[in-house]
Amino acid sequence: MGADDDLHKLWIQQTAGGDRSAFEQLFRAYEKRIFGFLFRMLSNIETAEELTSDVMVEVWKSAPRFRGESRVSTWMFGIARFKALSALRRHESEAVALEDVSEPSDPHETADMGLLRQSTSDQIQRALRTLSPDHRAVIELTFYEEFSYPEIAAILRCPINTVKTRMFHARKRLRDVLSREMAP
Amino acid sequence: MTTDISHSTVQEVLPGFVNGTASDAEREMVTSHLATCADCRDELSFLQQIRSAVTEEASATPPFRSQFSPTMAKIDALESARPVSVIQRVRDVLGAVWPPGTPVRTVLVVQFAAIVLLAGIVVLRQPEASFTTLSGGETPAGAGPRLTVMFQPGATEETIRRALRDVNGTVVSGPSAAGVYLIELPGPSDDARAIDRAIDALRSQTNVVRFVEQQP
Repeated sequence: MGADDDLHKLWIQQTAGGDRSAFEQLFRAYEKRIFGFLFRMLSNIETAEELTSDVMVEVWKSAPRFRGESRVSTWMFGIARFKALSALRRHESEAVALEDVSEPSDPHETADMGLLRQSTSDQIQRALRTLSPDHRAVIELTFYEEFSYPEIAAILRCPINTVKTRMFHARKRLRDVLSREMAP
Repeated sequence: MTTDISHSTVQEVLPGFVNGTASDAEREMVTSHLATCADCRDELSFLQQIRSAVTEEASATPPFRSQFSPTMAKIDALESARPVSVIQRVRDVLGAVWPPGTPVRTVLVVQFAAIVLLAGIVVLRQPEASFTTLSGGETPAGAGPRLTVMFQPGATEETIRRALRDVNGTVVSGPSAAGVYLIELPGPSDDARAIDRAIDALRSQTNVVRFVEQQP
């Protein structure tokens, strides 16, 4: 991770000097991750593609201002998250309402089984989609991108305690939704 | 359930324990607490399930079209739309000949600043500049928000005119060597929603507009 980050910082430095080859390497290294993050926040392939491009343009423009105090990935995900929130605001937030997604495919299937241990991945994924964009981002950045609390705070531009609070509420929300789904 | 103070701390640290970002001390604390706390063991199992679900969902991310070429087109458009300032050019030339801090360079910089100041005074005393635009008549340079736009190679003058009329846009300069136009919108520069609407409207006309971005 450290060696990778050193290399990525070098690419940023070279990009800041107008080196398109370094920019392309950086682009290729992050394109899929940034797209995936945006897609899971926005649930729209075309918007996620468009914003991935916008994020990379911002990286090109802002590379001279990157001070290297955080990991490159932290900085780039911060840009991606900002773009995603702007897009969500523009389109009046496309977060799916709880009522729209929490209907289990077969409400009797797990009714008499232990509560959470039998949660299927599908059920958790449906529950994840009921989270607000802020809560969803914390879960995603923790469990898929594997960032630490301080890194997530940097990406989301909020205090570490806010990240912890969001994580707490996101976990609680997921438990509540899954419990409701599995109730007889 | 244990009631010691570490319980709430462990609950807080568990996500980091699961994703591997917890420190050694935290891992040690969690491990010893888990041996005596069924609630935390259950929570750990729950978080591991969340992690699996998130990972599984992420691996099912749909295929996407690489955005490298479109991104480079945007960057080219931005670069060619952004005028290189005279000051920057002079600085580049000076930097190549005399490194920063040399007396000759300092004298030249002061002289150049004086020239820029005098030139500024002359320019400010000129009558207001005006542009002859494609989508309107003689239009004074306004203070509205500006967009950099590239049109599709196959777009006709009529479709371009219609696209600009839809957003009340006015061509204030262009095309540049790279085919970039500068479009001015009516209204204040800080009306982000109106600007976004205009950008969305232009982007939706994919057979006419190749690229549009607010001028930085």
